Order: sequence, then structure tokens, then C-alpha cells
Amino acid sequence: MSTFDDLSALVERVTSQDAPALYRRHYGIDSDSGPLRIADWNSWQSLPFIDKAILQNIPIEERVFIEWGDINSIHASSGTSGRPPHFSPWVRLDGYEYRTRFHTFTRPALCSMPIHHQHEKFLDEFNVNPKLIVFDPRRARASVELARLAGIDSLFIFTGHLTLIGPEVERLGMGADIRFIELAGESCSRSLYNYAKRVFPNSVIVSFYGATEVENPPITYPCRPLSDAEPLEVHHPRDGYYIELIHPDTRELLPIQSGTEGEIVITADITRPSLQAVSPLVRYRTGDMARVFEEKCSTHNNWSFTMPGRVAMDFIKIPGGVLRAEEIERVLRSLGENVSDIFELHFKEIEDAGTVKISITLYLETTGATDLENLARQVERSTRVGAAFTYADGIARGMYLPITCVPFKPAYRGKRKRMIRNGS
Amino acid sequence: MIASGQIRAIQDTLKSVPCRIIPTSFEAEDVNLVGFPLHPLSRWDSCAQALSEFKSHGVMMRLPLFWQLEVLLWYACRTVPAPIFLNDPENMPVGAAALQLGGMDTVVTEQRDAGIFAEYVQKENEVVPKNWIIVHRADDTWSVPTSLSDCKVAQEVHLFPGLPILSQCPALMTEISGTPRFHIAQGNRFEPSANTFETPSKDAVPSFTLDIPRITAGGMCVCGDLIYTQAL
Repeated sequence: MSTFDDLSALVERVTSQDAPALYRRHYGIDSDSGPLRIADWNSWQSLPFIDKAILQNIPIEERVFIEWGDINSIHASSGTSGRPPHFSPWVRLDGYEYRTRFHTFTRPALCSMPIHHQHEKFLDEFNVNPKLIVFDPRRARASVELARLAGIDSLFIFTGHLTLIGPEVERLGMGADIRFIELAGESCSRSLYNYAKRVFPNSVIVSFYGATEVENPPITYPCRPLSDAEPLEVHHPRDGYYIELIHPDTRELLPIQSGTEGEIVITADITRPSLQAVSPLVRYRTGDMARVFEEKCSTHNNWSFTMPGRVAMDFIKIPGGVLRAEEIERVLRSLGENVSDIFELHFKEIEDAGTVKISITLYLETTGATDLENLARQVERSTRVGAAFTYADGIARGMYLPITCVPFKPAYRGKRKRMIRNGS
Repeated sequence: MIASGQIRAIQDTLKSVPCRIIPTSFEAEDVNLVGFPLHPLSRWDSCAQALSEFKSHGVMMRLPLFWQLEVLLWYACRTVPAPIFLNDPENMPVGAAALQLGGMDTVVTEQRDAGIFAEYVQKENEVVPKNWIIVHRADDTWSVPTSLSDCKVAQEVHLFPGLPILSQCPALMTEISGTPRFHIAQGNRFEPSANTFETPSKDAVPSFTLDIPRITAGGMCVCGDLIYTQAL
């Protein structure tokens, strides 16, 4: 847990006169002035945020606070609004120690997470041999065949790769051998969890939250494995990261209390030598949303959060409140086994009887003979758009049109957009 | 490339051997693909030598991930030292951007990708990266695209991905045009009469005697080692 002294020392360090100009320029410190010293939490909270668009304007060499040759790897993430990719340097190889709470590592892993040498270093700590097998998503069959020969018993993979690996594992009859699955990059839906438990019946499934721009994922460690009773990914911030939640529009700092939902702002704490980053981030806006799950977990003595999704695509403000993808997901999970929690919500505003009404088409993954009409009414009644206001209330008041449910078959590859604005 | 009976015989025991497993084929769809054990401490020394010679600033890998070479290349990068960047060969725009904005100046790829990527980068960035390490498949023709004629190019020939049989010393790296010339990759023994290549035995990893494409000895290099070329 970062203290104010840690954060204060970090700010002083990144704004020192011999540091790269990144933060001095960002905070408007002139060349003659010494480092910025913050006196209290108010001055911390008044520090301007930094985001990907700002970082993209600065050449990578000017964002590096260590010797260039000490950087282990460079990573690309998608650029903002049509711009070229953003490149982030990483140096650290640690960060996965929590895995030993869930699995005893004696066998190799199949790995698709960046970056492979980092995960091999983790396994080297346990003298695991043969070495890590790298998963090639374009060549799943060959990768899984090599994994079989190596006798793997764990997967370190992007969530979207589960359905690429699964069929090959089934073909080779390896599913029961897999004891540990770690997922990252995207939330694991209920239906994907069910799929994983079917293909890998003996596996413990955990996930972490990371971001390419924030060096050395994972930023969090899992509170507990996903389970049949609770296929929910609950994350704790790892030591070395200071996480704030803000309102994505007003930038207001939000309290860390159960139910609070806000954009994740990360400070990567570099004050302790073992945690030094290549490119320290101070109050970095990730664009990812978190919802506080517990203010203090009794097991880990730390607050926890779940991940509703991205700021840009996971909630839509509508008259009467906010329509949230997470809320739709919650409702779908409560509607029994004939519908999964995978959906695409297409939203538009329609002129109707002289006014503009909200129109929602909900594309759903259903099984068997599902009464879509009845399902739509249930979703309307159960979906909250305000503290005491449901979607059905909005229909009754003439604000919204009835929901239309349409079956679809989702693709698991890549990030899923759950809320799509179709225009007016 | 068809794996020898000696390699096939050890497939079921690979999981109990301390080793790094590489595929015996460059093609993922090859029905003959099996695993080949490298010693767990084996390194890509020829690549490390080339990166040091080039004084590489940043190293972009454009080799298929299933070849299992990222970790070996990372170790090679550490000897310079320089960071590594993984570029999906099918995503050339990101590769071009990494050369322009990500601090990369060296491309590690195979012959069949090098020309296509160089042409793309020339068009996008108006400049071709200055350093290249090109992996030739043993059963292919070994040549360098003419578009790299102004670059520093180190070439090596792999029997399997990650198993160099021929590599170049700094003197041979300067020869871009003409028939590429090589030395036997260090640590291995070439038997000219049988045209076989013997990998070293170490700890639990046994020695393998492998057939290689025909090569011809062609004089002595300034470095003191014999020079070999591809037999026509």
C-alpha cells in the first residue's frame, strides 16, 4: 500500500532537474525551478492527470527514466482515435508471486501473455522443466502439440485465447491435466467460464488486471478463483500501485467504498528500488472502469474491485439515469440457464410521437427454445438505470421504447464491445 | 523437414527432460512436426554476436511465435543490451510504427518475410531499418533481398527454428551480395563425408546426428574458420 510519503517522494523524483522532461513539462515547471514538492493530499489531488494521448506526444526515449539498455521489452497498444500505436517500455520481470497461492508449479505452462521471458523467469524460480511453451494464436494446433509434449499443467493466456486452445486440448485429450488457468486482457463471461470448466474440469481459474501502458502487468492480484457459485473476477491492487477512482466525465475523485464505480487512475510507485519502473506513471487515466467490491477484504486486508469494462463503451447516459453493461450482465445472469451473460446492446434514439425515445436492441446468446418476448420484459423490469428507477419505469413514463431481444452467436476473439451506439 | 527416427524415439520422454522444446518444422501445419530438445541453458549465441556487432538499439522479432524463439532472442538482446519488441509478421503497420516511434533499429526475421517487410517499411517510413538478422530455412534457397543492399545483414541457416547449423562471423556479415558464405555454427560438429551435423550432448539432453542439406567447403575466412556455401 502506498503512503503519502511514497507518493510525495515519487513526485519529487520524477520532477527532479536531472529526470526526463516528461513531468516537468506536464506540470509546467520552468527549467530553473527545483523538483515539485507536494505538502498534503490536497496538493496530490490537484496534480493534473496524465493519459495515453499525452504520452503519445512524447518520444519514447524521453519517457525512459533508466538506462535504455536496461529495458527488457517494448510493447505496443492501440493508439487513441486513429493515431499510431503507443509504445510502452517494460523492465520488471516480477509480479506473479501470488500464483503460488493457487497452484504448485512443477510443470511448464502454455503462455500467450506478454512477455514470455517474464513468465519463464517466474517458472525458473521453481526449476520447472521443460521450459515454457509459447502459444501462437495463429497456429494453435502446433503450439498445443508442443505443449502436450512438454507436459504442461497450466495456462497463462489472454481470455480470448481460451476458445482457440480449448478445441486442440480436447482433440489431444489433455483437458484433465490442466490444473491452473490464469486469464488477462478481458473479463471472463459466465458462458466462457462454463466452457473452461467443461474443457479443463480440474483447473483453478484466476484472472488479473493489467494495462500495457502501466509497466509490468499484473496491476492487481486475484482475491480468489472464479467459482461456479461466483464466476466473478475480484481484484486487489498490488503493492507498488496506488489506485484512485474518478468520475470519467467530471474527474471528481470518488470514495473507495462498496458499490462506487469510476475510472481507474494509476500511480506506479517507484520509490522502492525493487519496484522501479522504466517510465513511472503519476495519476495515469487508464480508461478502464472499476467497481469497488469490498472496502476491506477480510482475507487480504485490502480493498477490492471488479471490472465493468471500458469507459468508452460500457455505459450510456440516458434520460432517467445510466444504462450500464455491467447491470445488463447482472440481470442476464439472474435469468437462468437459457441465456448467457454475453450480449451486445445496440442503442439509438428514435423520434416517436413528437419526442425522442430510447430504443434498445439486445443481442443475446440463448440456448434451447427461449421466449424472447418474455425475456425482454424481464430485462426491462430488472434493469436499473437509476437508484430507484428501472428501464420498465422509463417505458411507463414514455421515455423508452420496449426492448427487443435478438439471438446471436458471439465471437470470443479480441475485445468485445458490449454497448454500441447505432446513431439516432 | 522430416525428423529423424532418433528424434521421434524421444517424444514421449520429452516431458521428463530438463530442456527447451523447439518444433522440428518451420511450418505449423507440417504433419511431421514434433519437438526437439535444446539444453535448458542453451542460448542463441550467433544472434547475440550479430546484435553486438550491430550495436543494436532495439530488436524487433518478426518470427512466428510457435517457433519458440522469443526467450532465446531476449537472452541474446540482454548481451547487447537492447530491448526486444514482438511484431506479428502479419501486422506490418505496427512493425513500421515500432521502427519509427518505438526505438527499434534491428529486425530479426526470415528470408521470405524480409523483402516484403523492407518494401512495406520503405513505402511507409521512407527508410529501411539498418540492421537485419535473417534466418534461412535449411531446405530453402539462401539469399538476401536486394532491397537490403545498403543494410547490415547477418544471415544464419537453421535446421529447425532455433537450431542454427550455419552462421556468420563479423567478416562474413559484410558480404551482402553474391552467394552467402557461412561457418558451421559453434558447438556443433559437421561430418562432411556423411553430410551430417552432430549436436552436443549435455546433461540429460542427448546428442543427435542430423542430416543437413549439402554444403560445400570454400576456403578459409579471415577469422580462421572454414567457409561453407550452399551446394548447388
